[in-house]
Amino acid sequence: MKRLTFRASFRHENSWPVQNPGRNKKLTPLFHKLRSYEFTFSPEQAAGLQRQSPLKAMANFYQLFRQSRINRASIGYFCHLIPEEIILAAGLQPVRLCVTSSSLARSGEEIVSAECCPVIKSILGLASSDFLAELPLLVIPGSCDGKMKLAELLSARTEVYFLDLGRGGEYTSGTPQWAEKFKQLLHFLKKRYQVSITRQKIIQACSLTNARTAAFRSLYQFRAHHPGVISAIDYFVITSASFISHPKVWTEQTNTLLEEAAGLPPSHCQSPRILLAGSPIVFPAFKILEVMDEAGLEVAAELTCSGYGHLFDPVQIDEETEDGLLRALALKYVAGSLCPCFLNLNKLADRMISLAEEYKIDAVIYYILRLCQVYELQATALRQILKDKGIPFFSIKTDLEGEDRGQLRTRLEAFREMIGGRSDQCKAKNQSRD
Amino acid sequence: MTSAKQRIKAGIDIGSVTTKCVVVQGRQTIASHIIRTAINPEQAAREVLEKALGQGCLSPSLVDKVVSTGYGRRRCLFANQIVTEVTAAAAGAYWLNHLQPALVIDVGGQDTKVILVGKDARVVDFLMNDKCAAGTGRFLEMMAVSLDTDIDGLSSLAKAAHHPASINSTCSVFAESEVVSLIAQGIIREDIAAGVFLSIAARIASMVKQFPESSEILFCGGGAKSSGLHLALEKTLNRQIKILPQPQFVVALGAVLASE
Repeated sequence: MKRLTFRASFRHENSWPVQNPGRNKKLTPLFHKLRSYEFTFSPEQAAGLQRQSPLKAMANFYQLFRQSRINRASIGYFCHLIPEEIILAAGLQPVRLCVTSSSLARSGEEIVSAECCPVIKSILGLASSDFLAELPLLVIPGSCDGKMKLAELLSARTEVYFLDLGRGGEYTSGTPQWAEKFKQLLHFLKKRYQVSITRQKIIQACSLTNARTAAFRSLYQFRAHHPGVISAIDYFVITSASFISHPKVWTEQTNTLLEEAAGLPPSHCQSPRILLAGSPIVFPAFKILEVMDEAGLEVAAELTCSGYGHLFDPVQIDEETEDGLLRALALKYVAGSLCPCFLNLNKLADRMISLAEEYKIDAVIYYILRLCQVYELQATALRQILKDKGIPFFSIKTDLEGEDRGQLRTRLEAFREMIGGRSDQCKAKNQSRD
Repeated sequence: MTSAKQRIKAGIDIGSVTTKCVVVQGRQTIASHIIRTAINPEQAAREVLEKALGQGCLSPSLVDKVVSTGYGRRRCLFANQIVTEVTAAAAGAYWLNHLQPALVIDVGGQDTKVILVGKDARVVDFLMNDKCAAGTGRFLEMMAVSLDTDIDGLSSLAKAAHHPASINSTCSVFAESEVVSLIAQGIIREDIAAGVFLSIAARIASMVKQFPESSEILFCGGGAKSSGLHLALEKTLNRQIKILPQPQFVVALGAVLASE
């Protein structure tokens, strides 16, 4: 019998560009029509959002979104799985480029079909602008399927480092593997930028991000205990700003904002207290927040990869060796991740239940961006677990466009009536305060 | 108590296609009226209230309270109270079902809702169709037009079907083109009409099946006036489904009851 062999050229092709990051010039024509990056929503709208906020310190955060280009000393990345501390220790600024915007998504539809994840489409839309023109490097994790293919597509625009973390790994066996992957990234950056990344620099970076975590926790607690003072929109503007802001600057600005907020009168908001979980909520696509506000539902706590997932966990250093530091980072970023590709849904449900108890939550609203499959796939199961615990659970599936606002509002108002909340009390108070 | 019973209240349900008004004294409907919503929900609400009152020979000054519901509920500026159509449908169906808990299917113009109603008309849980029109009254209207008939005609056609055609599109726009291609294939209208009902019924059934099976199923909304849809739902779910009296007015009546 004739022996079957691999096609010679095929044999070694099936590998991701982990060891061999770089650009894929063959794909360059995909992005042949680069348009100038305009602020993804009109300045009037931005001014409107800012005007709604009683907090002067919000201006600092809005200001950040006016930059029209990423500078050369930055490294772009996606998801809350990339160790920012290593990038900071290399003397570079980590910039999380997860965006959600209907106008960017529409422009992304020139590269992938409309039936793709709105986050992926938005990112491709961003990549089709000159916003990334000077960005030297992107670090992209293998989280969902979308991000995996994005790593290949975006290699047409800039150099890409694909960080394959292996999905579904468990904590004990996973941590050394994840730490090893982080080590590879560290060595890659050292070589690529000809810099030394010492333990001391990593420890310094960790103290920066830990200070940011402390500020974030104060913000989270403040909102939970003083409903109606810092609105959900303000909150998500602040968390989105942390994607592109230096941790030190963000921490200072957030602490300033908290001081100002502490001086405002309490709002006596009576709206039902909601734990908002699910797909990322990133500036400027805040439809879900706007409609929840209109429907008289208060986001008292959230559990999304864009806020809590990005900022809540500290780096806990047990051992100040390089391996010890990398292990601590692996624990923070991968073991502690909220991404459905890494977190078991039972554990996610446990977190929801414990947050619901801690913050006296009336109901969980689970936000699914249409075609963001990993979130959608676990919705029914989560609903079942929470229902058994007596916590009302409501999933809302929508996209970045605005045509279903009316239906969304009806659903959310009906849900509020169902859980027995009284109407518009928070809103009435806010209006009288104005 | 006696004076409360004499009070006259009006419930106005401003839907995407029609606006309904029910005038209630105590808990009894004393007048009702329905008109097309057209483009101005507020105008429609005023007009339907006026006509309902005219029908009952009532003076507007007698109306103690107006409750609005439906997608245009917030546009009805003269309403004293607003409730959502989900809560209203639950309250109306509970009352008309002699205060018994049940599962309510409400097929409206642009929404289909399945509501699990518990004791005291409490909404235990509910589902609404996605943003598209498949499985709603609007879908039926479009399909009727494609088959050159109206909604009642669609039911009569379906009754005469022998081999219901299968309609797979979940999007109403594509379903229309599917119907056109079935006509081109020479499939008779009767079979297509039956297929249309079965396809909507399948979508509604998948919502119904997410709820416990024990409860009685009630049917209201404009869709409940279509005997073809009622039969298709009973067939698909293999259950008896009770059509509530005056199904289009259940939500308007419920709005008044829910506001109490």
